[in-house]
Amino acid sequence: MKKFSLTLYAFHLHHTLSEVPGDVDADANLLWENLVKLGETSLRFTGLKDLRSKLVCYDNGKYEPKGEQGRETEWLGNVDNLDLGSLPTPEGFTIHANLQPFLINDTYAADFTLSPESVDISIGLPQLQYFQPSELLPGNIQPSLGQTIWIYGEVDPDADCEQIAKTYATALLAGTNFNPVRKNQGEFFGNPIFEYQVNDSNTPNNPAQQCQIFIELNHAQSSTPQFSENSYDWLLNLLCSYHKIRYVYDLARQRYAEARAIYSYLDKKILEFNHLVNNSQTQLSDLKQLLSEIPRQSLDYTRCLQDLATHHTAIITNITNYQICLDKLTAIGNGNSPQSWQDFLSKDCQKWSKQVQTDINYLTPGQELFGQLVDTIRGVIETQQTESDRSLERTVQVLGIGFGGGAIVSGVVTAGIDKINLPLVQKYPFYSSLFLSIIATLGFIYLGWLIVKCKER
Amino acid sequence: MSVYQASIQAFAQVIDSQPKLLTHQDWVELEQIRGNLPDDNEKITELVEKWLKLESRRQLFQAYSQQLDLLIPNFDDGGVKTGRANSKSSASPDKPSESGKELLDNTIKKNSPLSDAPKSQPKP
Repeated sequence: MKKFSLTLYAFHLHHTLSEVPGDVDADANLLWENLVKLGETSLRFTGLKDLRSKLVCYDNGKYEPKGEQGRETEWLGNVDNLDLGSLPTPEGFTIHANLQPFLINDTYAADFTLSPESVDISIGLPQLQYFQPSELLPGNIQPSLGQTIWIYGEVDPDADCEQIAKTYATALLAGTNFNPVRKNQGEFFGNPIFEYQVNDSNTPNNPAQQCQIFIELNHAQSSTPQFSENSYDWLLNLLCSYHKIRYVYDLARQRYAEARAIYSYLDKKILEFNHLVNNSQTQLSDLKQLLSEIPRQSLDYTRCLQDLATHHTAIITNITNYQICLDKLTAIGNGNSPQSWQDFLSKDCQKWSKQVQTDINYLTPGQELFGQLVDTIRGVIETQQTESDRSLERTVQVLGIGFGGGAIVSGVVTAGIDKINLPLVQKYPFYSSLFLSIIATLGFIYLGWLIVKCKER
Repeated sequence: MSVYQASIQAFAQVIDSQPKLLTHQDWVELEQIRGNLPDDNEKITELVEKWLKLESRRQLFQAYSQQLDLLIPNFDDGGVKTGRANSKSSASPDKPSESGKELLDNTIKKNSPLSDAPKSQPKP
């Protein structure tokens, strides 16, 4: 394969909607730091090791994203061309490295390209290993949004492109536990292009851990579209939108699962509430306990719904951007672009955006139900509390009448006990006063009870 | 010299130096194209390359590619190496890319952790 190039396109979150404008995500610089680490350990290009000094988001080797603010360009380099230098190979030729760094809205994008110093050098499978492609896999780069590895090369017009792509895709992952899975094939700018997918078996559903591989084989020596500056930018943005759509859809599915769990919890709480209301033994404290648990879950549920709506907006927006990029690339390619890219737009994207909207539609009524459940429990508690308060008030009234009346009678009896001409009273005046006071108090309590009861009627 | 200027020059040199590679019909078509040439060099280059892509003009296309390789060695050998197939972004430290003007700004929101309160089971 001549005119060979091996490109890593990596996409990493710079900031999120939750951050204050100007702030960045906690791991925002991880992409650049991991590239520097590569330069220090395996791909020892001088320029890669010193990458921090070439980016505007670093100041004296320290990550300072303030340097990005106020810039109108997506380009993150201090200079126009970030030449990272060359490395010798055992076969005598050198490998050259170049970086194109960008900040596209909320995303850091890196194009890290390796190519032989001379285009005449043919890169076969043995030479491919000098490029150390396994170092460019997600485990080392850790781009939060995902990555694409793109091999480009010229082959003979009569070459078996499918077989070549297969062997290169396999060789790309040599020495790893990964196997490339063939996804699609098509034509890009007239060149056969083959798409492979590499999944991490530990996290098969995490798009950030997956690696998309394209192998583009130019078998007609066509050249001009490759040089088109605009095609470069449209392709970069298309890949960026692709990875963002997949990433956000994954977030949306996670949120939907969490919202479903809360929805199920809500259903159980309604049953519990019905049980408590129908049970005469129910204590006010049981209802209060129920009421204390639900608002937090209700808030979580609302957050899930809000996040789903935000994710839906992000998916729709990135679908629009993907469509624009694909239309531009198709126009540059004289009406042709890989069918799988069209299919992604017309099938996957359509399904995913509708799926998230459907999830929202399913969950929205639950939000109202949460509110109603809280209101209902609160209403029942208030009613029970009022009854309880009224009962206490009644008791106080009855006791007040009883003890008040009893005290009056006790005073009168104590003062005039000697006037009661009964032998037993004269013999035990203290006990007689006490007895008569108790009798009077009980009598007044009964009277009070009768009065309160009459008032209630 | 830009890539597009080089492409146009390469094509002009090929038809000057190897006119036998063109049939009478090719000349007629070229005359028609010349009458409707766009202003932009990139569009002219695209038009020419599209015209060259026909199987019957394979030899002409090969001659054009070889001539182009001679005119723009920097893009093919020993010069500035950039991205995939030596392609480069139109963005630079003081100039945004054209694509940025057309694409919608957007920001992702990550899922933040929900409350970790244990979900109580319904009482029997």
